[in-house]
Amino acid sequence: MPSAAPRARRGTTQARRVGQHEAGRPGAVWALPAALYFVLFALLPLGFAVWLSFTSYNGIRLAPPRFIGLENWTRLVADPVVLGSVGTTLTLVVVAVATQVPLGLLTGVWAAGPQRFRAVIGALYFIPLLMSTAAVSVLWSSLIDPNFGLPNALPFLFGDGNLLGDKGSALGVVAFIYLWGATPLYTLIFQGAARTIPLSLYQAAQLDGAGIVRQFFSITLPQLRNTIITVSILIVVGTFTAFDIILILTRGGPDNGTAILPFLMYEQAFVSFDLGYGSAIAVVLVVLAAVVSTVMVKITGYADMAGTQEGI
Amino acid sequence: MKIFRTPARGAAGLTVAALSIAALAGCAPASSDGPNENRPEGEIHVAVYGDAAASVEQAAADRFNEDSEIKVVIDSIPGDSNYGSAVRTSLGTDNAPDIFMSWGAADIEQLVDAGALLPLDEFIAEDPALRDSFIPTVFDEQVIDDEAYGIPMRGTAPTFLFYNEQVLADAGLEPAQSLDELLDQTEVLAADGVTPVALAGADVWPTQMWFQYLFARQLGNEAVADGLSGDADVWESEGSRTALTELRDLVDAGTFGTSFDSVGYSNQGTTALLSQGRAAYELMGTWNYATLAAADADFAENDLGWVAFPELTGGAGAPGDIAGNLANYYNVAADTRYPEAVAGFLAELYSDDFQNDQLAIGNLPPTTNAGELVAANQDLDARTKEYLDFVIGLVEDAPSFQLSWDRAVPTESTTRLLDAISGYTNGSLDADQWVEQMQSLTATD
Repeated sequence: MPSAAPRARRGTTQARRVGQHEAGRPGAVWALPAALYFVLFALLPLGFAVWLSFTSYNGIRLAPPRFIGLENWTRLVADPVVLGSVGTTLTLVVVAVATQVPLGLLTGVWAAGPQRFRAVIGALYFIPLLMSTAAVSVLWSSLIDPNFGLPNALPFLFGDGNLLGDKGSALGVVAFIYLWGATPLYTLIFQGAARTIPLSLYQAAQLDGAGIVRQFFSITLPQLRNTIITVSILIVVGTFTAFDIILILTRGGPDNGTAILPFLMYEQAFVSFDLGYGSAIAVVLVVLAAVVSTVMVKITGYADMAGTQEGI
Repeated sequence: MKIFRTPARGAAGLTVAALSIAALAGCAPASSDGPNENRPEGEIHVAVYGDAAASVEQAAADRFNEDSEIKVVIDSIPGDSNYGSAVRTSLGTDNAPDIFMSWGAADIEQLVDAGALLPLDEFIAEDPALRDSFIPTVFDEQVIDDEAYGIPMRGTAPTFLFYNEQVLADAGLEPAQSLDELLDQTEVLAADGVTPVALAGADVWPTQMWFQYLFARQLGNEAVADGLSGDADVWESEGSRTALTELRDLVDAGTFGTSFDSVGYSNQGTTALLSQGRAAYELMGTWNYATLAAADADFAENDLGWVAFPELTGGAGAPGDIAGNLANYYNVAADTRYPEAVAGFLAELYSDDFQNDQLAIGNLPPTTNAGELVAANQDLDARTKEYLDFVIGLVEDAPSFQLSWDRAVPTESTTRLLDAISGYTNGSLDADQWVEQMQSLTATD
């Protein structure tokens, strides 16, 4: 492209310093396809959802959306189901991060090591990654059936097996299935990251007499700091948009105990055909996810992405 | 990732979006006045609910296409809860189906208000059999403001008790004829280690069937219909309270076991319980025969029994009143390009061929001559005939037929209804809260 070269030459001081990386890149033009895609499929629908949230619309084109001002929003702030759903969503996010990060980290670090049979066990462990979440949900709905599933085989663990009949245990089941299905991906990421940690660090620590636990906390963990942050953000975003397992397994029940915001949005928009109210819930979801992610980025210093290997 | 955008960029994006929406909004909505000439030429598109019964509709289309220049094209849409939204969002576009399926009046009310449906009265004036072939109460469900909008199709689906003959025989019991008897049997069956009644509480709509019958028996179907259309007094009446108490008694006595909220119908949970002899009864619709036969043909052949829902002593409901799904209906888009050909295809719905195909898959057509067709049909096996005769008797003898509640309340109230049903059954709502919830969700503005 003709405009490419001059643009590259107008780079900042910092860009010139990394001149090799900038060479031949036309800057903003290269970002155009992605930017267009983003505008068309992310921003435009988002703007449309914001607009719909101020309308009454039942999904029939022949009866176009009717502007009703703040009606959906005044209803939303007083709706105990939505308020409960915000709590449920945040609970699931916290539980997901608190379980998936440690498990992914430990298994990832283990899988990065040289143990025997590691590849075989690792391959088995990654099986959930190959399955669609819908298939996983159907599979688990049979596995946790109180009469024919695991609860029936292990009554000392599950009692009468009414796992989906109680808010706490139903949310626990959902969190567990996400843990089972999603962690292998994070294991893979941690495995890759752990392998980039220079062996010389461990050798030096060994010379200083550090044991394996001390090595983990003083070398592995700090070295994986950026990966932990990345994985945490992936989990947060993933959980905020989680939907499939809940639709298939619990349908938001019992008593809306697992009705996280994406499910509630779906239910209002496509079961009750109240697309205006569903859009208002969607906007709440976007804002909530944006706030949580921004806070995470600020607190963790993710935006700076400082290296962990200075001086090595 | 969009969540990392700076506010300034986000605002720019929103401006673009808003402009685009303004441009979109400027497009005139498709008109519903008269045939839409932009629809596919020479074709009528039928959006078929893609489950086991879809093959019968395909066969009807094939028969119609033999003699028609305008061809019927069957578009199978996955048979799940997204069918309604797929049809609804396409209406008014050039690609909308000409013919599609619905479940009752509440289902189509918003479509009628929006002018998206074609009144079928002119078709009926030309071909009165489009109305007269069907059971009047079923046909009248989709007559709104004196105009007919739907032609009944597929099967009439009342609910009743299915039971495992072997389990009852082992316990020395006969099928319960009264609710008290059912409660007495609960103790005996539970002592045998059997779940007295399999209930798929995880799906909620099966739980609703128990409400429907207890309210039918205590209040009568007419009062229930009044309540569902907004008469708040019905829900706090004495009969309503008694029905709620009876339901509570059943739950507390362990009639449904303790883990029914985790048992599903869609994952075959109750099907396995009943067919494997781990439960004695299940309250379900006519389609359960096909489901059970598919899961365990031997059980359906030898050990499956069926009986009407038990009667109560007292209560304002008429004996023999039933509840369930009246039928499905075919509706027609207001801007269909070939109305005459559509009328011709709808006539297939009362043809003997179409009805016999329905019988073969265990559906009882909602027509006035279904009984004669069952008797005359040589292809049906004795067991299926016996079953269909029972359903015909149940429907014919019923003074009234209560439409499933989730098909009777306005669409926007469906989820709140199911929340109320499951909430009361699992104890998170007491009777007062349930009554309040029902009054609120059925209230007409």
